[in-house]
Amino acid sequence: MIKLLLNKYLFLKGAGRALKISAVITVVGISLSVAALVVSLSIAAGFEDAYKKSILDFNAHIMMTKDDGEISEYNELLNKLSMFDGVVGATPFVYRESMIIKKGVVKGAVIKGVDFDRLLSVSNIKIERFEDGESAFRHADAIFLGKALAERLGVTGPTDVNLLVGNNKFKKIRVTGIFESGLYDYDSQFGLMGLSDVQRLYGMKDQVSGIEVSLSDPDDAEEMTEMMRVEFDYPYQVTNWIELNGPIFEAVKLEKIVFGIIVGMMALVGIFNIIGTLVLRILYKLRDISVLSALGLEGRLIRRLFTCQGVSLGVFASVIGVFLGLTATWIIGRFELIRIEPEIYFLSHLPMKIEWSMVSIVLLTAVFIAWFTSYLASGRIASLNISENLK
Amino acid sequence: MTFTVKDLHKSYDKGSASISVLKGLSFSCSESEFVGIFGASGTGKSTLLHVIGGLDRPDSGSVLFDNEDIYKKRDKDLAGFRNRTVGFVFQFYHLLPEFSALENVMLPCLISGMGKGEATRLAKESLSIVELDHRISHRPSEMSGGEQQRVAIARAVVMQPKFILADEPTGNLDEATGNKVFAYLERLHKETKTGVIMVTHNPDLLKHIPKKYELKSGALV
Repeated sequence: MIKLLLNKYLFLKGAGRALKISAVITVVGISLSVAALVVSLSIAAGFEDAYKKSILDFNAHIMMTKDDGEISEYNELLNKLSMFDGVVGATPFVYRESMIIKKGVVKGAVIKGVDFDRLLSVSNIKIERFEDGESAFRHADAIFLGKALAERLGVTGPTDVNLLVGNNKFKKIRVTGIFESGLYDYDSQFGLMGLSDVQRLYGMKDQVSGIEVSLSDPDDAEEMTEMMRVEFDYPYQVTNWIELNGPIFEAVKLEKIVFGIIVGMMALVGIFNIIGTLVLRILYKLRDISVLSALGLEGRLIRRLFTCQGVSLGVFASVIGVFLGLTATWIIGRFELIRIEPEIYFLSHLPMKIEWSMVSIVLLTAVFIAWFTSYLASGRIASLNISENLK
Repeated sequence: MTFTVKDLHKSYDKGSASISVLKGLSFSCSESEFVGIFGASGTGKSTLLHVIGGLDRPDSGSVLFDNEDIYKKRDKDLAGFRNRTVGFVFQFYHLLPEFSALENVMLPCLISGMGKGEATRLAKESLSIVELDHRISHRPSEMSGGEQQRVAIARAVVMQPKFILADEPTGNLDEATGNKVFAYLERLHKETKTGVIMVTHNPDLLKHIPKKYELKSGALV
C-alpha cells in the first residue's frame, strides 16, 4: 500500500512549481554538502597518507640510537634486532650536520650515511641519477642532494661541491644525483652518501649514529618499540616513526576533525532542508491525507509514507553527493590539479585519498539524519485536523 | 446493526471564541434505514457525520456502533472501523488526483490488506454498479463531476460497509446529475440493505427519504 502511494507521490507529478523547486533545492543542497564533506575528508586522508608514505620512505619504522654518542657494537645489535619477529631488516646509519658550498652559495645540510642497496630496495624515494648505471652510487665520495637543497645550491647536473667535514676543513665531493622524498622538510635539508664514505670523511672509527629497523607492518611500530625497549636498556634509545612525527599526524588528525565538524555542519543544514520540503508536501497533500485517513489508513502509516518520501529524497541526494565527491576527489588526485606551497605543506600538490570506510560513514550518517528529520517533519501529520479538510 | 449517538457535544475554537455546534445531540439509526439530515449552513451537519464516522472525536458523549463506543477503540481499530464499517461520500468527491478511477476504488481494499488481484476485481464490480466500467483508467481530472461522484460512491461501497455516510453528495452537481447520483444511493440501500445517513440541502431529495431530521441549535429535531 505504502509502495503504491510512494510511487504516485514521490515524483510530484502534477505538483506545483514551488514544491518541485523546493525538492530540487533540497537535493542540490544535500548533494553539494555531502560532496564537500567527501572531498574535504579525502584531502585530510590524502595528507595523512602522503606524510606517512614519505616519512616511511625516508626513515625506518624504528630507530635505535645511543644516548652517550656513537655506537661501536652495532654488528652485535644488528644481529639481536634481526631476531625479533616482524623485523625484515636492520641497517646502520650515520648523521652529520654540515655545510655545503657551491660557487659562493652556502647551505646548511644534514648528511646521512646510508646503505644505498637497502634504500633502493625498500624505499619509494624518487632518485634521479646524473650518471648511468650503478656508478652514481659506487662513485667515491658521491652525494645525492635533496631536490630542494639542490635547487638552492643551483645544482642541476653532475658537479662538485665543497662539504664541511671538520673544523674549517672542506672536502670536494661529487653530486651524482638528486632525490625527492615527497616531504619538503627532508628534501631541503638532506644529502645522502654511502655509509663508509661518511665514516671516512668525518674521521669516525667503525662507529654509527644509530640503527634503522624495517618492519613487515609499519603499524606494528609502537608495539615493537615497547618490546625492544625491554630488551635494550639505557643508554640505548628506541623510538619509532609515529613518535618521531607525532605533531604532523596530530595536526592531520585535528584537520580531519575540523573538516568533519565544519563541512559536516553544512551537510546537516542541507539535510535539515528536508523538513521544509516535507512540510510543504504535507500541506500540499492535506486533503489526500485526510481522504486516506477517512478510507481507513492508519495515522502511523500515513506518517511512514511521508517519512519514506523524505528518506528517499535524502538517500538520492546523498548518493549523488558521494558520487560527485568521489569523482572530484579522483580528478583532483589523478591530475594533481591543485598546487600547494611545498615550504608550508612539505608537499607540492594537494594529496587526495579515498577512504571507503569514511565514505560509508558519511553516507550512512546522511541517511540516518535524513530519516530522523523526515520522521520529525512527518510528525506534523498527527496534529492535522482531518475532518476540517474534508468539509 | 445500529448507530446510537448519545448526548454528543462538540465545539470549535474560532479565534478566541468557542463555537458550540453539537449540544447534547442524541439519535439512533439502524442498518436498514435511509436517514436524511438537513439544516441551515454552519449548524454542524458535516461535523455530525464526521463524528459518527470516526473522523472527528466529540468533546463529550458517545457514538455506539453495535453497543460499542467507537472512540474507545485503539487508533488502529478505529481506522479499521472507517475502512470496513462505514463508507464516506463527500460533496467535493475527494478522489485522489494521481490515481485512476479503478485505483481510487481499490484504495480501501488495499488499505485493508487485501491482495491487488482481489482488490481489482472488487473495484471493477463496484464501478460496474455505478455504470462506469468504461472509465476505469481515467483520472478524476478527465471525468465530469457526476462521474467523479459515482466513482466516490463506488469507493464508498467497495468494502461492503454497513453504512454509507454521505455529506451533501449532490451539492456540487446539477439537478439531473444530482438526481442520478441520489438514485444510485437509493438503489444500493434497497439492494444491499446498506444503511445510509445523508446530509443534504435539497428539499426535492428529502421528499424521497423516509426518515429525516433537522439539525437545529445543536440537536436533531
